[in-house]
Amino acid sequence: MAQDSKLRPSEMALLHLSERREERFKIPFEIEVSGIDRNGRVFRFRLWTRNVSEWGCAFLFPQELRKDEIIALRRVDDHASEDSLARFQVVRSERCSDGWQIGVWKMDQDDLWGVELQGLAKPDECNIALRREGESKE
Amino acid sequence: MSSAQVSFVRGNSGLAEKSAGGGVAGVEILGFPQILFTRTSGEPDMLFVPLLDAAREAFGMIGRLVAHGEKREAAVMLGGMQLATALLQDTSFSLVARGLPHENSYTVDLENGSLLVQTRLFAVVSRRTSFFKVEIVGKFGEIFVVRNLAQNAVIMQVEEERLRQPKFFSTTLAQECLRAQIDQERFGRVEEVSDLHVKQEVRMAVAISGNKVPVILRQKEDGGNWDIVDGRRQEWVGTLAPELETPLANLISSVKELFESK
Repeated sequence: MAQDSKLRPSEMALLHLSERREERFKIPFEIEVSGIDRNGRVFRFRLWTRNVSEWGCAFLFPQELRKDEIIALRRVDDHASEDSLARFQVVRSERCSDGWQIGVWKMDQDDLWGVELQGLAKPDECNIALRREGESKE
Repeated sequence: MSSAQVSFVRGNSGLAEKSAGGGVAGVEILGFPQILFTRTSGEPDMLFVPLLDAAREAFGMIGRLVAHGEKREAAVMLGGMQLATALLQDTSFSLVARGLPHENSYTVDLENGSLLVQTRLFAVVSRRTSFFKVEIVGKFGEIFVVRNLAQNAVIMQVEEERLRQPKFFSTTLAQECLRAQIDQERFGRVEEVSDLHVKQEVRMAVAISGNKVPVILRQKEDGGNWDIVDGRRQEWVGTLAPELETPLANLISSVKELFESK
C-alpha cells in the first residue's frame, strides 16, 4: 500500500493534491452525484466511476463542475442506504469530447465503497505512472 | 493590517461583496466535515457582512428546496455545500481540520438561520490598550446581540444595518465595549457610596437607539424628588415627573412586600 495508508483519516481528508499517492483501481461503481448548480438548482446524476481509491474517484460528468466545488456522492447499490452520502471536493475538472473529466477527493471520513478495493481489482499502475510523469513536469 | 479583499461570488446575480481588512479566521458550517480557514480575510470588518450575505443566500435556498419537496436534512446539507463552495471560490480560503482554535471564529447554523462570531476587539485610550473578547450572535435579518465573554454581559443589541457600517467592529463596537467597561467600574464605585447618601434607588437599562443605556432613579430623602441619572457618566439629567412618583412608589412597595414575604 502507498504511504498514505500510514496517515490518520482526518489527515487524509486534508492532504494536498500533490501529496496524494493513493492506489487507484479501475472499478466501475454506480454512483449518484448531487449538488447545486450556478443557478441555485439541485442536480442529481447517476453514472459510473472510471477509477476509485479509498479517498477519491474519477468519473465522466455531463456538465461542468468547478474546481474546489463541493458535491455529494453516494454509491448506488442494493445494500447502500440513501442516506449514506459523502461530501467530496472537486480537485480536477477537464473538458473532454464526451463531457467533463472529474476527479474528486473525499471530505468525510466514512467509507463510501464498503468493500476492499484490492479484492476487486489490481492497482492501476498506468495511472500511477502517468501521475508521476505529470508531477515531474511541474 | 493586510489590505487584502474578500469577495464571494453570489450564485444567481454574479455580484460580489467586497470590503477591506485582514486577520486569521475559521468558519464552521454546522454539519460540514471541515473548517473553512482564511489567513488574510478573517477580521469581522472584512468577513462578517459577506459571510452573513452568503449564509443568508444558502439559507434561502434551503427554504426553496424544502418547498419543492426536498427533505430538510438533505436541503441543509446542500446549503452547506453551496456556502462552502462559495467560500472556496475566494482564493484566501482553504480547508482545515476541526478542533483548532482561531483568532476569529465564525459558526454558521443553516438549520436555524443564525450566525455566531467570536472575536477579539481592542480600544486604545491614553496609550493604554484594552482587549475584549466578544461574541456576536443573531438570526439572519434579526437583532444581533453582542456579549462580552469575560464579563458575560450584554454590551449591546444591534440591527444588521449598523453591523454593515464600515469598520463597525474595530471602532464603534470596540469603543462601546470600552464604555461598558468604564460604566461597570463606575457602577461599582457608586454602589460603595450609595448607601451613605441615597434613601432609595432604582436602576434600569433602557434601550435607546439600539444601545442599552444604564439609568438610575435616585431619591435622597423620604418624600423627596426622584433624580434621573445617566448611569454612563453619573450625570443628573432631570427629575421624575410628580405624577409618576406614585406608580414608582407602588412598584417599590410591591417588590418590598415580595421580599418581606419570602
